[in-house]
Amino acid sequence: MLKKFNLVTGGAIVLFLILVFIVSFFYVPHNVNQMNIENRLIAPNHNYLLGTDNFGRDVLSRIMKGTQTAFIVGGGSVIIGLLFGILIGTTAGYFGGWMDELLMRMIDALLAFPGILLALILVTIFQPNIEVTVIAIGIMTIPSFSRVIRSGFIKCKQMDFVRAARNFGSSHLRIIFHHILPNTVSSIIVTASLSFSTAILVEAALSYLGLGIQPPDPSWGRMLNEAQGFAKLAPWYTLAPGFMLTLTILGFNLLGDGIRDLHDFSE
Amino acid sequence: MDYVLKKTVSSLFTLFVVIVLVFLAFRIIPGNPANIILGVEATPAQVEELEQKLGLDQTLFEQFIHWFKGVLVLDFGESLRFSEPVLSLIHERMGVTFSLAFMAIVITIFVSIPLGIIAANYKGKFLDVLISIGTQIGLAIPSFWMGIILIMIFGLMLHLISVGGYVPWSENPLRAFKALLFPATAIAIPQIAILVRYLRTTMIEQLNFDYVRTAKSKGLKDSTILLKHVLKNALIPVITIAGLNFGAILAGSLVIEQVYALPGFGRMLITAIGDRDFPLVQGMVVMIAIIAITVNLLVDISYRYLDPKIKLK
Amino acid sequence: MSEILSIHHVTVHLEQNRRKLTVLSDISITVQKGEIFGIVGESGCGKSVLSNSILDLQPKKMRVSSGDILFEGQSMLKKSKHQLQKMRGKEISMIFQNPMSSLNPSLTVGYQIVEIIRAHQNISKKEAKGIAIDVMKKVGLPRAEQLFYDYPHQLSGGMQQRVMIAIAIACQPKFLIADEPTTALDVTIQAQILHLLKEIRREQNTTILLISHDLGVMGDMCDRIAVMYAGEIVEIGTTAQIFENPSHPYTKGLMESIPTPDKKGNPLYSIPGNVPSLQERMGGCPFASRCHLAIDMCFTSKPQLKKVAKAHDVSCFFSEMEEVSFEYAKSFS
Repeated sequence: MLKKFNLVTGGAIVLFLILVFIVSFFYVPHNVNQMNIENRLIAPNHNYLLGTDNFGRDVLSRIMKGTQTAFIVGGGSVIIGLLFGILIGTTAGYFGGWMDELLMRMIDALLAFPGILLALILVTIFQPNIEVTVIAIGIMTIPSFSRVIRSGFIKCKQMDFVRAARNFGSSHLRIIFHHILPNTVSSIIVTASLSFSTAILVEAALSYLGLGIQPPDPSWGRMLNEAQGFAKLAPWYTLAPGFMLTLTILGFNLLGDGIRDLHDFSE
Repeated sequence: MDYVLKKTVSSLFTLFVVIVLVFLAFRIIPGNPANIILGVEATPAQVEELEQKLGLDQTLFEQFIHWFKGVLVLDFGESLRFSEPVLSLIHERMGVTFSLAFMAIVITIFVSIPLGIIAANYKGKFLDVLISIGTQIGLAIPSFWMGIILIMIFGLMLHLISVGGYVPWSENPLRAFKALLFPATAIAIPQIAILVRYLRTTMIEQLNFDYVRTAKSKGLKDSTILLKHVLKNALIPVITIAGLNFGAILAGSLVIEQVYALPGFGRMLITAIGDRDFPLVQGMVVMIAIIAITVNLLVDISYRYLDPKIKLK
Repeated sequence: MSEILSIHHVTVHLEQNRRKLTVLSDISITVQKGEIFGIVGESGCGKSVLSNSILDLQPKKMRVSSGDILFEGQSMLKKSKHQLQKMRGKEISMIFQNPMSSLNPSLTVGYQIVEIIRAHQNISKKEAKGIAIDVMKKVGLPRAEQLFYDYPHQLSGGMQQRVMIAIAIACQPKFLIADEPTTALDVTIQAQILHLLKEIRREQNTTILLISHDLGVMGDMCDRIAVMYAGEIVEIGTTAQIFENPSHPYTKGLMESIPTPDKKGNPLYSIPGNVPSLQERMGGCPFASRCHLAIDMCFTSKPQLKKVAKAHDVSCFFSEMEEVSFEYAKSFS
């Protein structure tokens, strides 16, 4: 019962977010970046459903546009993590031996290092912008993908159908991509969903620190940074982006958990 | 013993990789770092002087040896902005960050253990479902937003805390405690969520073990069985997870210090990044890595010694 | 002699995917005070469920759906949770199959013994420790004072089982349930542990319910034996009756499969097939699908336990037909 609850709730939230994401390309209630000091910090009303910020910009529109930033960062870093994860995970899991040992030690090193520090270093060196943010967060997600894919490979390698394929003289690449990888897809999807939400969380933290997405691009974390100073005057400005962030992270976490429960990897 | 040695070596290796990477990272900065730091208006003489100070006139290898020798004795050079050794700057700020991390860990353990027990004991019932929803939300709320909300509720509405009210423990312990309690809570919430879920799973797993049936057959009360027998076995791996998350707690405090304007590690790091104070950033990153990796290692080793089951192997 | 435990027509069901599966059907046993009563059967026949349900320790999914269990004339099933708790370990104790997993790995041996004493007697830790050390000596644990502070994994399997026994007898219970107490142990250790159980019975006049899959073990130990198959009792009698005149084909099969010196050199007999799983059980005699004597009637109607001699009951349609010899049946296989 609870299993389905995670999946259904997570799926519904994610669908909603995707909808907002798509709509944001074609329609937002107000111009995202148009400042109008006369309209600053207006409480939510029928015209500005979520009120306005300290520059008089419509909060709802900026939050809608913010899904684009979130999805680009989430999607981009998951793609980076996935590509390197497949490379490292398959090499380590399929070939084993010293290669496995070396790669896994490196992954351990990456894991032992608080992820946000890595992002901070990159930001110090290259100046903060969206590309650097995506790359930094992408690198952070490599370990979990590598581990999941590696363990999937180690499990599958022993299975009869893989042995059979090898006996028939299939090439390594064919075995990897045709026989083993498809069998690890569900665990990869789970990792992707969970990494997606982590990426959005880290991006928000970086942007909140002023070291992620730069103005005037709308980012939920950045909005929170600006909103904090007006927490008393304009609580809606603080609540709206935070709520959206929480909803997004919750949605992808639930979806990931739901898919995992469905397959019961743990047991 | 073999295990301790293996773990120590692998931690040292990790540390070495981090030191090398941090060193290299700051050498691949596009353009001349001295120029970047000083800006466009700098005179060539100033640039040359800074280059010398940063050791940029040496070969890469010489620079690395110099840097590495320094790291071995925790000498990370001098901050450009403060003209003070990085180590003493770190030392000054450490108190806040460590107090925060420590309080966050204490809060995490004291809240998550009872919640985990309740969830496991009422598995599938209303309370369990409620806690499970709570942990999902706790995991999803960004801690810095939680921090802001706590300020809004307890500061702006109830006037119980004021941002920036921190004074060192030695001056006024009560004020220090008050200033750190809410940021520590904000850091603790996602950790609590992780730990509750973990403890619940471990306890449910343990409840199926034979020794639980033995305990029942002895005529022990359910509460004794749960708290004395099951919890003891479930707790060791859970505490380990808490220890291994020390890095995440430190990272959490980096951000939360910004929310609460606390004069700790994180705030200094963010300022240093803004100032492009490379030696300071470099030193702090390596220091944090050393702390996180050392704590991980210690937790890992003590886990081996605490858990009688593992000694067997 | 007087009755101490009597199990009356007990049936246990397992709820699984909204299906009710019968684990034990209509079991009746009476145990006399001071005797060692054996229950023998292959794994999966329900003997552990039966012994666990005396103290309501069977898995939660299983429930006693009819019948009653009387201990000293009082119904165990009608007792409250609290009353049962008071009886566990004090009136009735249990020893389990695998001492390694049945002891708590993270508590010391001493703690685990002291704990049961203090659960039932209002005495100080120090006094309890004194009693615990005495009990440890009684069950033959060497260096009891040092062992007191050891963890279970530091002990050998035989010593662990002695600790289990020490826990079980620490409160001098009237009734001891030993569920496969020697299965996980070496043969030499087995003999020692069984000897210890006999001694406990002799010294404290403890009644013992011994559960085992090994009929060989039973011969030396028990006064009376019940043979269980697929959740039912198929034969019950004194040890002499069971060994000298096994009357159920299943008991005969079990007897044949005990290794004895005179069978040396010949392949050991084993009953063909397996115990039917809970899902596979049908009406009729539970053993019919593996029985060489089975006729149509065996598959359609259930034989009842019938007296073949004083204190000797068998549930088999052929039990009275002496002329149908087991050897004859075996010749068909």
